[in-house]
Amino acid sequence: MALAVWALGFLILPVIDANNTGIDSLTAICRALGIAAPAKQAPSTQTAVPASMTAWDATTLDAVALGDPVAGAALAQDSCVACHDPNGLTTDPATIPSTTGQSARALYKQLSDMKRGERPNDVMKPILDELSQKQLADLAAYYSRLPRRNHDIHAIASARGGAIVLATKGDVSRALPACEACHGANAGGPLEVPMLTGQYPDYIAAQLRAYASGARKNDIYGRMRRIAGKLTDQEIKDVAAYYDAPR
Amino acid sequence: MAVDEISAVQNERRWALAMGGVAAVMLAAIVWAGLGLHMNPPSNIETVDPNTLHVAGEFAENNLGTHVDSAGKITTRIVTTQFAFVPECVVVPQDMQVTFRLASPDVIHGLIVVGTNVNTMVVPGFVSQVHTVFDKPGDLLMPCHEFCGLGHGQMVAHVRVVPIADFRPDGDGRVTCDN
Amino acid sequence: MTINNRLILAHLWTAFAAFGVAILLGLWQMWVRSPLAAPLSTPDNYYLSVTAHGSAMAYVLTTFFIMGFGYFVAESALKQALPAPRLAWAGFVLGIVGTVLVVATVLSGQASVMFTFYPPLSASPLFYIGLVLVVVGSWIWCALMIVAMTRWKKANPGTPVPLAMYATVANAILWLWTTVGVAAELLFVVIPAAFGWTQTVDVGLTRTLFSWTLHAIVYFWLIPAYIAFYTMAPQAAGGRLFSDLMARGSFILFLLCGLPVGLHHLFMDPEHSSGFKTVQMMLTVLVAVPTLLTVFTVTASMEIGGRLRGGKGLLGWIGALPWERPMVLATGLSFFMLWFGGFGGLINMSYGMNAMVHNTSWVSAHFHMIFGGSVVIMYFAIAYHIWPNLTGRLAPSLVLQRAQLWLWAIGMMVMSLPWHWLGLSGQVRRVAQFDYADPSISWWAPWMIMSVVGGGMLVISAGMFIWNLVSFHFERTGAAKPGPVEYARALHPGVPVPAALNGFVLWNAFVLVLMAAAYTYPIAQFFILKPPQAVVHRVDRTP
Repeated sequence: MALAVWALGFLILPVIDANNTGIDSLTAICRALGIAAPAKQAPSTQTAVPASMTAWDATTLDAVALGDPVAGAALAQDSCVACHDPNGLTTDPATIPSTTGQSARALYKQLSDMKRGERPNDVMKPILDELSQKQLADLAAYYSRLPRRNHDIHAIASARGGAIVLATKGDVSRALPACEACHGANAGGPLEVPMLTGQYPDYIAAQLRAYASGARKNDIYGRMRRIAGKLTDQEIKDVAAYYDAPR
Repeated sequence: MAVDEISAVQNERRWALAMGGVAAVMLAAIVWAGLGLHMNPPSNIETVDPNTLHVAGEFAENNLGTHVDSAGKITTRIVTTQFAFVPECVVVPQDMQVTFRLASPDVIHGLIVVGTNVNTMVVPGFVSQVHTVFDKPGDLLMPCHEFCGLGHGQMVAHVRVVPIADFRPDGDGRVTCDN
Repeated sequence: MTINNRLILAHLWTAFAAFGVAILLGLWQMWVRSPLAAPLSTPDNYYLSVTAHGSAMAYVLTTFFIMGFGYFVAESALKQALPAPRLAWAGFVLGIVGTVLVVATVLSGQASVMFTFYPPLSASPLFYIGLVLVVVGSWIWCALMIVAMTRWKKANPGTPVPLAMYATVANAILWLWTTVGVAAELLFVVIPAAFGWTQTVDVGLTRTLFSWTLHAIVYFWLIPAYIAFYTMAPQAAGGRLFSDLMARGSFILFLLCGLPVGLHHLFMDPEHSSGFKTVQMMLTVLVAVPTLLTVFTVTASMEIGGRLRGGKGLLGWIGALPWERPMVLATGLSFFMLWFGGFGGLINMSYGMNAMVHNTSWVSAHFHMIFGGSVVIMYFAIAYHIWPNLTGRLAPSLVLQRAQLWLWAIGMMVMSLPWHWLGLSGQVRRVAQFDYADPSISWWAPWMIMSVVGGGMLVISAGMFIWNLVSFHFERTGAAKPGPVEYARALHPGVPVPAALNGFVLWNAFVLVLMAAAYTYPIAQFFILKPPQAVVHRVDRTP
């Protein structure tokens, strides 16, 4: 009885089914047993053009976790504070983001991508070319530990109902997840998502427009290009304003 | 008492045999479905690194979607990620064998193509593979069916089944919803 | 009469308090999913609520109820005091501390990973530790049940262990086997990741270990209902247990067949081979056997009651049953829902048909019908049956008890029948929003509203249940005293019970062999193949 069950499960069913799916009997039996069969079919694909080479393998995760905030502070004093102030203020809120209190993983990925040119930036690239990956992790560690920028306390009044719905509930009819599903505190979303609370609304709106137009495309699997491309310009403005509100 | 001990035991035996028979019939139905209808569990035990999925290989962004190889084999590659299917719409021809290959770079996802028996989990670390034939043209809903985070409910995509005459691969053998 | 009534009441009230809160969340969830506008409807709140509802119903209600009922059976069926009641209280305290940790982490939004965890999502470590404490508390219960039976056997050589206790110990042993899987998953993979000691997890391995637990846990929940079917319902109906041996056989089959079948929850997973899936699918078919045996034996036992009360003809005995007794009524309603739940289960079990419904509302319908319907209604009936004994007071109102049971059964049908066809039409689980403006799914709307109505009926029924129990405690003690709970006697008492059906040594050996055959390679393959691991995604803090 037991023998019959085993023979059915591991030999007869897989071999007969193999004919249907066009694989040979040996591969079928290997699969039935749970042994990885030797791969024969080479993936018929083009050369990969990744949006970003940043990959969250154990080495990268450890590198970010071991970033040295003291070394990062010294580096920032030399190379960054002219634009990125330790209070989270910047000289041009439309093009230069507030970086204090930001997630270290988000900072590390953006710095790495700009260094490699996957996120084009003529100002940042020459500065980053002088820095090692270790120094990028140090900078990320430093800025992530600083307090976030103070919010504009009047902004909440300007956040409109539609933006609140988009940010907190999403819109299933357009397959738009809530902004908070990834960017909220403790959301459990993609590892490199930046926090938006405390960011300049002009900067958020500018980045959403860049994603929508394809000018910026270092988001892995187009997660943001897909979303930004579906938003109206009014929605972009409203959502950006929503994140300027204190919470 | 209406029931004496011997007939009680006989009744018990008969019922136990009948139930054994019911179980045997169900087993036979499953074996028949496996042999005759080729309904067997999807299991190709093929591993893939979720953390470098986007960097190289068949699941890099520009390799996704439907592709017809030189031998005419149709493969649709989809990445399931928080919180979207990439691409959001795939084209497949009607009445032809199609192979779906799926992988996840982050957490567990799953999908069902509504109204068909295309249904699989997508587990980071493994490639899920489903062979199927779509017999009717039209846009089919393909929602994520396993909890993957707060955006799970908005993770929806479509499969566009087109008549063979309208299924026109480009020079690279690719077919997308845009063309 | 039972001695440790406070211990038993503490367990049962904890179970029903969790149930009372969780059912309100369930109604709100139905409301959110429906086209009606619900308050506080965001994904954060929805998944927090689903996690709380699932954890409370599946872990707190069940575990505390089964422990409390087990202590009751150990004293009332064996007619001896519980061994080491202090240890039992220690188990209770562990369970309470664990429950508090789970509640605190879930309500603070740090554990919205569902009661099935889904690594690499990772909640606060305190959530998992809380669940471990609940399980450790229940392990103490398992040990006490085994000790109680062993002592009784020593003191009563040659006498078979009373069926109710034999079945309770079967459940304790089943639970010890069952929890091995989830305990290994939590202790070796999930908790180290939650503490941040490891950055990645082997997702396939965690799913496989959880599948070890996932099916047998259902039988752990179900066995108290079956104990009531076999030992309380025939007694309440004025009948006899048709066959003591067949009853023992059924409980042993649950122990044997409930465990080596967990891979059927992973039919659609890519990390397991078709061969092991097929083998476990075939073993799953055998799980239907003990339930079908139960349907026969319990129906035959009730028939004896009906005929003794003057019922004639092929079906006349059904009308002659004392339906005014809540235990009889609940058994009838439970059997009715068992047909629907069991039918759904047969579909899920068959791989080919499962592909149509896996992870859709069909599955939610199946387990609400079979657990929320067939099993929980028996929890109610058991409570009504033993509360007089625990409080020393007669039931204030049988009418209210019957009304509550009817409302529960009808509410469960109204709520979960629509989920069957919505699931077949592609409505997936664990989704808070649907685009009812989409013409292909707009017809779902009235059915979803029907489910809200069903949910409302269930909430009212739950409120009546709590009221019915509370009113016992406020009932004035009159002259009439409730007698002790009696268990159904066998139709032919004195039939010698083979030693194998009076103990568990042989069956444990069988379980070991079956589990080794069914799970050794499916678990070992992760250490042989070493599949790439996935990075932990935290939901409790920003890394």
